[in-house]
Amino acid sequence: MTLARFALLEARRTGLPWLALASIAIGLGVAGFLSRLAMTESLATQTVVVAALFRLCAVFLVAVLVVTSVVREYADKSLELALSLPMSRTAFYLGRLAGFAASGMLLAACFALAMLLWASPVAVVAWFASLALETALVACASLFFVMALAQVVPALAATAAFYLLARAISALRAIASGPLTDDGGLAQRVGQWGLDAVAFALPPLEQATQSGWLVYGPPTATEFAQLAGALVVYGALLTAAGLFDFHRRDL
Amino acid sequence: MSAARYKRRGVPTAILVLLGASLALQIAWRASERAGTPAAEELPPAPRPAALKLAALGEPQAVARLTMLYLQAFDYRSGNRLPYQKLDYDRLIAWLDAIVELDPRSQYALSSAARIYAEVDDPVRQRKMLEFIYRRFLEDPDRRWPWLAHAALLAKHRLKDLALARRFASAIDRQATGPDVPVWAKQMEIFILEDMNELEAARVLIGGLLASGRITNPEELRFLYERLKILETRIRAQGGSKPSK
Repeated sequence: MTLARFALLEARRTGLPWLALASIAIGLGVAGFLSRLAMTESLATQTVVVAALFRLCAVFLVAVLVVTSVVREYADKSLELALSLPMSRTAFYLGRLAGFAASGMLLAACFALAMLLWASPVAVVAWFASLALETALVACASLFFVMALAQVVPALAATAAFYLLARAISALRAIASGPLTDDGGLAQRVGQWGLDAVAFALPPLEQATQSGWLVYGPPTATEFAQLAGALVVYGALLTAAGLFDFHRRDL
Repeated sequence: MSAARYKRRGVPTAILVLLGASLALQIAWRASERAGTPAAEELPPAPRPAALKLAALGEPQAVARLTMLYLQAFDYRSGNRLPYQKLDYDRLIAWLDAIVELDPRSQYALSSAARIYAEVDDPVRQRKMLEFIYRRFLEDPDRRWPWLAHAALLAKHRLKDLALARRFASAIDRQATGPDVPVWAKQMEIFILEDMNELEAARVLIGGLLASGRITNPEELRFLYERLKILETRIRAQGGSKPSK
């Protein structure tokens, strides 16, 4: 709990609340701009575009927070200092992760409150819950990569690649199995198997935090439970992988 | 970070000059660029829907609407007396198809097709757009009937093509069966048949509508019975078949 509280304190002191406010201000500006452009479905256009923007902002801010925070710990040797205290590595890792995930949840809450300007509360609740889970998953991924790579640029690049691939994998698989590529050749089948294998190793982020929920209605409880379950399972996998790597590291 | 770090003293003059000059150059450079609405000829070929889905990264609704905003900028500049006259409608329809594929529940593409692109003063382009609306209507009639109804009116009043208008009105009557489809939309075919002087067919349609029990509103029932009487009078005057009892 103490470590989680420190992570939240660090998020506050590194200007995360101001960045969230700036993102909301940009969202309001974009919405105002779109309201003048859209000839029809103006409210729906504003809603989905601003929601997509907020989602990207939340994910980006959480990833940068996690990566820069851990790299700073590496640089000023506070990691070694923390590990010299009577505290297990697991407790340290999970404590930091809880703090980062809580920061992501607070960010998601800020953006969800702003989304109430455009969408119904029921739809926003589903969107918020999904965004909170998504930012927690991104915190898991960022922590895993930065603990392994220990540098800002490689860790951020790896997190971005993981995130973008997770959101694009369904479309990639659809393209690979499309009628224009369906020549039945070995190379094509191997390519499809490869994509299927990559998809097995990725979370279903393309189904999460859909801006469409805000304009066409939230998902059913069953759909949401399936999505949330998949994200939680993948978060657990990333955490376990991170802990495995952290324990075998010679620090 | 203290404000003292930002004081000007200590910064070499050359750097200040470089900063000022580069800032002025940047502003001048951007100001010299003419940022206008893209011309009709600049509309590129539409991307494949699958490629657009990939680029959407799981946000198809947002990308569909942003693509629509991008599309509607072409050939619509102030002072253009005949907007969309020069647009390549085959490309335009390919773009609209990709947008509908991306977000089938949005009405933006079909609304723009009916209210903007089909209103162009060019029969060939109008027909292309109306056929696009008809084709897309068939995929989701209960949601997309308003745009086909608009298309039927355009076919009747702008193109003066009553056969085309009847085809659209007939499709609404037969395909759009949802509870939200209003009766007036289903009755369009009757009035178009009257305009085509197909009085017997119009009479049969009204009779069928009354017999189906779908009309429950007393005002609508009264209106349809009156319409039926008028039709039968006209048929008798033309020496047509016997009126119904």
